Amino acid sequence: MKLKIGFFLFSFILLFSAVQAQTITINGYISDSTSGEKLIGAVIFDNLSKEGTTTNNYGFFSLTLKNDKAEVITSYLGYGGKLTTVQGSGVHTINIEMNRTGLLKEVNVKANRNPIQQQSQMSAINIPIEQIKKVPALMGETDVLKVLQLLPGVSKGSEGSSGIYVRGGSPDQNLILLDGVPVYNVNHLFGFFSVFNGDAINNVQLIKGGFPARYGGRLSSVIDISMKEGNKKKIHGDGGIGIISSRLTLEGPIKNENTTFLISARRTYIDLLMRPLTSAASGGQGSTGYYFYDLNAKINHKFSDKDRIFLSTYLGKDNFGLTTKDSYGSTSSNSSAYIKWGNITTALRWNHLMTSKLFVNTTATFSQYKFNVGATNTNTNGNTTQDFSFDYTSGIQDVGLKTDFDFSPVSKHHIKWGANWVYHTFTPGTNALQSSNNGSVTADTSYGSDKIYAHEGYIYAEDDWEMTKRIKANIGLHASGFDVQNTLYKSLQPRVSARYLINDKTSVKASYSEMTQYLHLLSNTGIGLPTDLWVPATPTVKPQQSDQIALGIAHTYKDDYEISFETYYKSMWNVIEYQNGASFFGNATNWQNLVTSGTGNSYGGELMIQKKYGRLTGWIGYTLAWSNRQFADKNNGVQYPYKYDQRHNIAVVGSYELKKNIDISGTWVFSTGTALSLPTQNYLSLQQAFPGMPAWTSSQSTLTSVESFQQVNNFRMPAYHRLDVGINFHKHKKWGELIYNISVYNAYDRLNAFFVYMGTNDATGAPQLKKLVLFPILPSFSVNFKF
Amino acid sequence: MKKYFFFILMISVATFFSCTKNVNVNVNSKYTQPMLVLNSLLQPDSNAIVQVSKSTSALDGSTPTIVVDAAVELWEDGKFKTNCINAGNGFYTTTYKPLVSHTYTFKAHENGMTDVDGTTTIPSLSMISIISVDTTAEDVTIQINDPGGNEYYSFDLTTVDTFGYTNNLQLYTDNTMLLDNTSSPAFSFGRHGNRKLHRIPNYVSNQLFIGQSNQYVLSFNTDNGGHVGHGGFQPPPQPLPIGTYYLKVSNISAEIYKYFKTVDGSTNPNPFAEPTQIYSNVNNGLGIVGSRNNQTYFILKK
Repeated sequence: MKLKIGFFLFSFILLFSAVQAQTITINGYISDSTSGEKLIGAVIFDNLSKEGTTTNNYGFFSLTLKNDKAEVITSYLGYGGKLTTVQGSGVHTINIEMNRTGLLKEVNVKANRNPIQQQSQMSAINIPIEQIKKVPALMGETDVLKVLQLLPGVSKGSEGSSGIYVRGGSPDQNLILLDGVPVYNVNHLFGFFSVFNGDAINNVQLIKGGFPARYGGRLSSVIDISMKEGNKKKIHGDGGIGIISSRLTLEGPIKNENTTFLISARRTYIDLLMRPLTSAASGGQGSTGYYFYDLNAKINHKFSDKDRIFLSTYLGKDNFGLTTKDSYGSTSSNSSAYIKWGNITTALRWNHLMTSKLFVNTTATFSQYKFNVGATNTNTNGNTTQDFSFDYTSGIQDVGLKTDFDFSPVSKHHIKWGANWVYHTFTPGTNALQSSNNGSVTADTSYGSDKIYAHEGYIYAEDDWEMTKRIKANIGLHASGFDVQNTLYKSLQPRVSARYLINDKTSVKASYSEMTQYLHLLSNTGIGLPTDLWVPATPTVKPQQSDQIALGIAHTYKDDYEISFETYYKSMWNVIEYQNGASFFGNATNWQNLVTSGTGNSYGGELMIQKKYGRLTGWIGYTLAWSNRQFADKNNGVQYPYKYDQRHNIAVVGSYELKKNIDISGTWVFSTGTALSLPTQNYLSLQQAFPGMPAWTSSQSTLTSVESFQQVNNFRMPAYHRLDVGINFHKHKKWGELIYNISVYNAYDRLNAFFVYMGTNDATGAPQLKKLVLFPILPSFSVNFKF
Repeated sequence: MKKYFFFILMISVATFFSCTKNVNVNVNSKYTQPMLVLNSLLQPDSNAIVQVSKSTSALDGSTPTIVVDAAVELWEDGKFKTNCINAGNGFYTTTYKPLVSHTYTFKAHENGMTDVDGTTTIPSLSMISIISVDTTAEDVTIQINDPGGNEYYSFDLTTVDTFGYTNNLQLYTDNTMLLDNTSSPAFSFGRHGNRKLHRIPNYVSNQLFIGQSNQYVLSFNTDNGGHVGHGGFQPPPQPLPIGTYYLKVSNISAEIYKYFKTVDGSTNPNPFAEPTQIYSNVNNGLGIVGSRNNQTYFILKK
């Protein structure tokens, strides 16, 4: 440990010494010329020294060279390149505005892009939001997470779900950040839509392995989503009217360029359609309704060239309600049930330029997720009235503070370090129950698990170091701790990701990362329902841990095609699941007594061929993977396939600009069916052989036979495949642009199973496995506009 | 704009009324082949006995059948002890009475089927004693001196009615240590005065009181009948009638505990509950070979 710290200090001293010898530093921000929106990951390249860097998450860069002159070329996907000449030693601040050309037009500095083979980071994919919006979507609703599901190494959950399963990991093992704040539940409409509104998003990055040290707290992936900052030049609007929802985004400057705002809202109107229909169907004796909304808002202010402040927030809520009423003679009954859930996240961020090479970002964060389900019932019989109500609440709340330093002393080193602290409050499920008889309380009780409070913190340091022209590595160390119920967990996690450039077009890459996760998600279904319960590591339930090794090759073909192939092996410890038969609901005992912990592993290979430029853009992804779990008290202690173990996954995604005002797109996916446990054997019970012996509960003492399965996840759902197609018509108006979108989900009407259940054969009445198909061919139409 | 809204409305309605279809699915037959099933409950004071039957596919609705011509052996501590004879109705027995702390294996052979075997060790009795009985409150206080290690207990409260039938009754406690790690069903509590009572599963592991000597108050009646029922209706209080009650407290083998616990999980009506594989310790087959050791107490309610 001491040696490692010594090594880092020594490196710093060397670097500071090196800085003194440098002669020219160029820094600044790179942004879109029409909106002023910062460009994340834009490339800055000096044509003289052939050295370069990229902008950070805030659009800032700093490049120090051993020259007194530089020819700075900037490039970014979908933007024309820009050449800026800088002369004279010292610090030069240049804020560069780039012109959008669209993906159609070739940029004139193609060779200086940041091609895949040059990057030390492996297992990472950036998808421009413009490309995400072109992918045909379920009911026309652009969904960031559903596009991520199309990438190799990422599996979706069940049909239509926004679940993300990265390299055999579970959904809780994804660190999903919205402007740096973790979002705990990313699903609307029981998982069919994600909470991220595409109109408010600037950039999306997915990291599946070789994690940089600045990220921590999850085992399997980082999904870093940045919101737009707001148009600096003029008031701008985006919106759309779709089948199930409408949305509107407004952004622009307040008084001048120094202060901008963005506000984006979306709401469904399923309830407006369903309530009258369900009420009519029940003869006025009940109705069902559901809606969700979300709101993204952001305001930022530039105090000076060195200081900017951003305040961003997200509010989202889902609400499902059901009411019934019935009466006969002097008796009547009124019932209602509800399920509500939602997130709130807030980030207050301060960007400060300490020196020309040292950028600091400090963020205060707040994140909250709440789930609530309940029911009420009133029965009246003459003068007797009985009331009953039940309410279950769970959730998690975080308050945090973090600071990140971004230091570019010389062009060959890009150093980051920082610290983070979070105070968690877990509400792992409390039940409240009341009943009364003519107003006299007969039961009034609450039970369940107590709140748990915990402190989580980490520090990190990493250096993206170009050792030679051929070798570049991102080396880092992440140290974290978790203080819960008088127990302190500590973890030291080394990270390294490196590339060796074989030639200008090809490199081989390798990475190793250790991760520790102090949070667990208890899930009965694994499909991302709001019932999933966030719980902390405790003195009895240990933190999850993993290590992952990956090897790969990256190649750029004819400047237009990026090809990568990666293999990986990931081991996981202390993953938890509910014990057999346990669930989140209605338990008098502590959740810790309902779980079992075990191990997991996953391995496989991923191929991706991506075309980013030209009239035709898109990618082909293929994954061959295995994923397993092992628990001492499940499957007789024998390893079994993970529910989302899918051997083959193929995705073909493409969009083509047919004419200047018409573009078409299509997606075809294929995946091996997911695993599930189905009873296949029926046999005589112990109870019938030895009558009179007590069963677990008295109702089971008379069971003559039982049904079971010999192996957990013994059955495979049928293979999943689907084709989606879409077409966009752009119509330019005086006030802006109208875009008509027609898309067809599941174009060849494949009957993919949402789940499989035991039913009866319609003809014979014998037991028969059946599948429920949720989405047959599903056309949709939406009108979008911009002004 | 009106035509757009109309168009969207029509598609929305079509969408929400056309999205469910049932389609038959075929299952690989390897999962549904019949297997031999052993069911046995060995007790130190009773003849060793096992029932042999055949499983059927859960998918064809047929009924499991007993096996009448199997060859069954009893082994003790890894050594052959005796052959079992057919006692009818699929049962095979010997006159041999198993001994405490010894390990027994039943091995069964049936033509055309894979041989199966199942093993259990007869548990020794823990020190359990009745401390007091309050027949007015219908409480009984017991003391369990848990020896440590993995121990499993069962509680069985019965009474014989005027027609001579034995009825099982439910036990309750306010001591959550006895709740084990069970998935207590929702609303499975009632009140007894100010005490909030939970229904005790008939099988308990010692994981919450491992190696401890504790007293537990067990209640065999509650003010409201034990249930706040589904829908909120409550049965009126039903005091237990005067009579003799039998409280059987047993040490049971781990197999019995795991079997009943997983049967409970597999029959859990909660749609969110984890699918449960019913525990079996029969190699190459199904069923359970387990054992128990009983102590019975008489409680007289005057």
